[in-house]
Amino acid sequence: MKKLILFFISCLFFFSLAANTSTITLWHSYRGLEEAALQEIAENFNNSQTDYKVELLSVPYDAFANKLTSAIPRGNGPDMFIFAHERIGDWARSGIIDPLDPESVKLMKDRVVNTTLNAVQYKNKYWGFPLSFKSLVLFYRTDMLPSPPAMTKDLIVTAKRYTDKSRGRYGLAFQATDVYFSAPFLFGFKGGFCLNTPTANDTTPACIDNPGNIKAVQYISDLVNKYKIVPEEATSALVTQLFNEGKVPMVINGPWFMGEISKNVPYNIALLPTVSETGEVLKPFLTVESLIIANHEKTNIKGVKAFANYITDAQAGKIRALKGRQAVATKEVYKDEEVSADKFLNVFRQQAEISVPMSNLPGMRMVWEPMATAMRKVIRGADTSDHALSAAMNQYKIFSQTPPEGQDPLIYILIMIVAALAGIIYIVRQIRKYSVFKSMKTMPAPYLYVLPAMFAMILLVFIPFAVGTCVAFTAHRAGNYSFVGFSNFISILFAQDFPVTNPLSFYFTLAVTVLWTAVNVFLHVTIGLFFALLLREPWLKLKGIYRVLLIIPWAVPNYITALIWKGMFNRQFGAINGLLIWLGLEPVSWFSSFWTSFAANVTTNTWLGFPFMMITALGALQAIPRELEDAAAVDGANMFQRFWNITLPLLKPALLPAVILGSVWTFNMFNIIYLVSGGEPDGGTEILISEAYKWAFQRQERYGYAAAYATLIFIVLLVYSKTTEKLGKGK
Amino acid sequence: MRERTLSKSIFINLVLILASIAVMYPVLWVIKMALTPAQGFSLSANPIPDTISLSNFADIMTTKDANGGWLFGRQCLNSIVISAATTLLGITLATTAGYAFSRFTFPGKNIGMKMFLVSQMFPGVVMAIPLYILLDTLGLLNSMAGLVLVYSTTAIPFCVWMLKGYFDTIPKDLEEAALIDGASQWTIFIKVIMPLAKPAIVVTALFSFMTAWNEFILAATFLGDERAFTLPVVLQQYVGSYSTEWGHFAAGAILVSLPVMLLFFLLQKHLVGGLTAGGVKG
Amino acid sequence: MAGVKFENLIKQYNENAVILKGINLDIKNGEFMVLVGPSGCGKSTLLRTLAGLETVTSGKVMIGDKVVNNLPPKDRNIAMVFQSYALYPHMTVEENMAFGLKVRKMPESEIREKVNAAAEMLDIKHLLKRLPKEMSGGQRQRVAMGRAIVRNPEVFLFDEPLSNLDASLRTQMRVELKKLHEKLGTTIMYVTHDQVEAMTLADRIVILNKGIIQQVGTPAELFDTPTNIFVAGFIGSPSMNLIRMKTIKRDNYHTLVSEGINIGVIFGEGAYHEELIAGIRPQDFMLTDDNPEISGSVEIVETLGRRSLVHVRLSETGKITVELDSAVARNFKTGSQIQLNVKHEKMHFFDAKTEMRIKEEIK
Repeated sequence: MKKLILFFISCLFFFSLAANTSTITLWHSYRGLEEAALQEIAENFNNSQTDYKVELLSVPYDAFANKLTSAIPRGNGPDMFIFAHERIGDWARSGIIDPLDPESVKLMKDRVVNTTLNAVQYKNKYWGFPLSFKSLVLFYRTDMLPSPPAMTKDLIVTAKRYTDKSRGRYGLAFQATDVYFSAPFLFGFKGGFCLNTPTANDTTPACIDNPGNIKAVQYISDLVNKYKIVPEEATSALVTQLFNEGKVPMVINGPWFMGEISKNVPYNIALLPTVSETGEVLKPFLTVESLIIANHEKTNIKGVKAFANYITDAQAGKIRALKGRQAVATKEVYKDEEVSADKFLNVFRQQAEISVPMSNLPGMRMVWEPMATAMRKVIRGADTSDHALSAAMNQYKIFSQTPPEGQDPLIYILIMIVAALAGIIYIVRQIRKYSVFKSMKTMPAPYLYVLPAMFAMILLVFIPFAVGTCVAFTAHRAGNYSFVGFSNFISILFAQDFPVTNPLSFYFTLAVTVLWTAVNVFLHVTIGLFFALLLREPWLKLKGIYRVLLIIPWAVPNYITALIWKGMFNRQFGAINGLLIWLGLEPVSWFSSFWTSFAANVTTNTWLGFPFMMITALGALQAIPRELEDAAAVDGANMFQRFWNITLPLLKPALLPAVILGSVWTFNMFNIIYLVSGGEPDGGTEILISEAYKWAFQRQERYGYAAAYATLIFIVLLVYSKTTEKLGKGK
Repeated sequence: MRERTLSKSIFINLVLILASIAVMYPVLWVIKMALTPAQGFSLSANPIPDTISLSNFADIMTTKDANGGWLFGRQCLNSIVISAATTLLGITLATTAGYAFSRFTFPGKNIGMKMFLVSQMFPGVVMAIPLYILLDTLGLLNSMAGLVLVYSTTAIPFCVWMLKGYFDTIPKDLEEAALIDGASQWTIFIKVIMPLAKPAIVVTALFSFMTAWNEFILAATFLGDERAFTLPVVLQQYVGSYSTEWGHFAAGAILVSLPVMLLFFLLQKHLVGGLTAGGVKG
Repeated sequence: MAGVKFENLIKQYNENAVILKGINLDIKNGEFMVLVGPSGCGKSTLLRTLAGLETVTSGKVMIGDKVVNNLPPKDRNIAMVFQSYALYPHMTVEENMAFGLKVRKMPESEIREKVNAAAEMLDIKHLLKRLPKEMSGGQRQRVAMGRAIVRNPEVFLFDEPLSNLDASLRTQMRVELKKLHEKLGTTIMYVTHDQVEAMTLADRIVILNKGIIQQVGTPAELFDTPTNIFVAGFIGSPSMNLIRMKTIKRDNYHTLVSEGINIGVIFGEGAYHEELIAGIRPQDFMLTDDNPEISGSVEIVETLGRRSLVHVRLSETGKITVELDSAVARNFKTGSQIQLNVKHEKMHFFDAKTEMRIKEEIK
């Protein structure tokens, strides 16, 4: 009895404790040292007081935005999250984040570096507590280069000394075709995107083809093609590797690069040099990681403020600076002895002062794609700088078109009701005609067998799709959806802005998608079947081993293998070109022409996709008695004839579902395109689904437009399955 | 023509060895990155690691949660439970449906089969947010059950079609014999049909398992607690906004793919059927 | 044990596909009833309605005095041996035989006992641990029978069980089946398309054609008094010669005439037909030198051993088969003339229009 009472008391105690301490959740996507520092701070915070308890959740970066936009409007979001400031505009417009109150603003003005606070400003409000900032700086190997050049002229001269293309050595490495990495040059040549003026607002158009940008792009192209001091297809992996292997003394990169440098490499960082031609300093983009308040009923504003106060003060800032290796926004931190002695942190701090905060206006996100396309074109020598940039400007105009105006949905609703009624009448008639209910009574077994699966499908696939499709009839504008009828479909199908041969055109992309699907499925089936046939020989030893080895591409997560394939297709360092050279052939610049880029995508996807077909075929082959082939052999059929006339027709019924479903999957195979060719060249190898993705997430947030794309994809596939069905019957 | 001849044997083994090398070449890089303590992305033509260190594996396998529990173990368990449950549920629903489609003619059969096919044509882009709302409404957010349901419905259509195709090849005689032997429909299904459909069930089981095992977007969106995360989510956490910890990612990728290969290795003996021909001759 | 009864049984899939057109049949308790007919005649369907594998459109199926129309197979207390044997490929012989007992929840020990007894009876004890694919056709056949026997049913159903065996094995199995029936005494319904099998095994035979029973009777009855030309032609090997003839009146008798044939007969009362079909079995001819009733030219001689078949051409279209002692037949070569008489008392007569047996006496 005593024990019981004790138990109750302890329970009560526990609950009272729990009731007093409210939990506040924080989502972030930090890794490594940054995460460790954050964890330490959260722990310190939790120990420092009893009112609030911070719980951290590390969400993969790739799923972060998606999770936020799904969860917050449903009241499931965190109280706060850490993210770079450039999405603040979108989120503020969509109403999923809350601005800081005047008290907090005042506190931040005292505490943080001014530029960082400017970055989180949108529509005269401040939308985040600046925590740290990231910008590009110049990394150099101290064993190769005693001191970094201060002017670009010196940089070129120095770089030339180290360049020896035949041995894969360069003077400077950075991702030249990536706008973020090239941005310092744009600003250094007095270019830019016109979005950083104080008067810029949501409707301000970005400028792309200004003289500064034209000169800058030409200059970058010269670095690659004329002076040849920068490698052509520099991916982040390649840059890292060149630096680590001592094949390049200088790299333009951000603070994250420090984690990628091998431990035995001596290096230092410096401010970016000044452009000799203009006398302007190379100014990188500045991104500010901020603590942002999620806007939903359950958000514990007081708790968030308490934590924000804690994490932005000097003590926590020091932990983030020294343990997390972050360039902290809190000014006070730099007065600390230990921090000011840190050469890296100081350089970052100085570079932040000479940087351009990335704009959080909608115009910014639409700049990336046209600009990148133009830069690639110029760098691979396919276009002049001014021409490419004016084309980019045109593309930007297309992307930035205002979404269609809302329409009165009344007529559509009426049409929908009539259509729904007609549909119901049709279904009822069909049910009557085939007396479905009667057969359900007389023969319930098959219905009972199918019912559970069907129920699950309707609930979890068909209903969400129907809801998703409704979005296709709307336009998304700053968090609001307005009904626009068929406008999205009309503008996709009858686009006036560009010819059919433009990669942005639905029909062009459709043609590419169909070709992509056909080639892939053909290769998957052929190769899969070939191995399945080899692997069924009963006397084959090591059969089990071969089988397991050959399914590995399917088993390993394709995010990493797809990127390895991209690396293998690298113009200069890739294994594929290595093989071609070894065979005495010319190396190929895989991603600069449509067909080779397409081939690279197909190769990767075939490598990934054939094991599935192989396994399916292995299973299906079991149902075919081998006597039939023996009989054909006796009849004098050779190996090929036996396969073609006996095995294949018998396999057809079992393999057909895999082929049809396989083609449907390939049709929507987003990952490979995104990771391998990235649409290169000039968006030509984009397929419908990746195009839809771009409309939704990378250009404007045109969710309605993207949903219309998705609906069209569905219709195309439906037509495809109808035709294959007819073909199947025809045979 | 089925006998083994020396030349044929050499030819087949040679082809398979070459194919295995070609298939393994990119994978060797994953292994190299996993065994190299640095976090860079290796690009050199030589996929043999220079140094061998298990630190990446150690790093990712020894993560701890806020209470000091073994986080990685917990997440492993989540993945296993979710994938196994998906496989079980998917196969159960798909075999019954596939059986009905194969053995009965009933009004609505064609439409029903087509619905399964059509469902695969919905692009995922438009489904994620409605699905989120749906699961939230059903109270299945943040739960394994919700994910299992979503994954199974992703896997079911293929399984239904595949199994239907295979059931079609099983002679009807056997079922009739069992019927006369006094077995109920259900007993026949479990004791006669299912064992005979083993090869197809292995294929579909592997497929269902993989569907659940490698998915991370939905899992990361639907789950709100690190202790509930599945391995692919954990793996994807190493991909940052600016850079990726490739060493950790590669090590994780290997850890994630090992169980699949092991599973396949264990299952593959069942992939060999050939039993159905046992009725009259063979 | 029980008998089986079909009453007015009709089975149709749709208006154009009537498979069984009103079957009335009474199988006595313990009887070995063989259903025989050409393929597509509905014999398997009839068997399957009894098994419960096919539904009945109308009419009754009875086992004992119980109407079983709506009973599922498992409640009919029957066992069936399939043409393909339908052994469960993934189970051993023992498991195959025990399956029906297991699903009926019989105690393990009893199952083992029954399986062993049946295996002993069929001489397959040494095969119990094998899988179907590890056995020969004959062995599988025995296992299939064993599976039926252990169940100790009221009725055995056999659906062409011997048709996948080679000739000598088939003969051997035929004998064993007969012995088994004698030992067990269970009612058997046996479907075959092979009339030799039917004749040797059956207590009674049912001849089915186009969904209609043509005749039911003992093998001897069917052989001696076929009720119509279908039965006449179906039973007996080699088959009966069926010759369409015209009647010509003579003084006090009639002659039946066809090309190359001229047989004098006396019609009994009411037996007169202007046109009729005469049936003569190949064994019922005699060679003659003068006044032959039949004359023709030898087309080919087939030697079967002691007896030979002589194919005789009577005209462009007319042809008969004659069975003779090989010693005699040896004298005939292709093209040589042959002259024959008929054993009148062994002749069968059928109405030319209805093709039914003329029951009245014709000498």
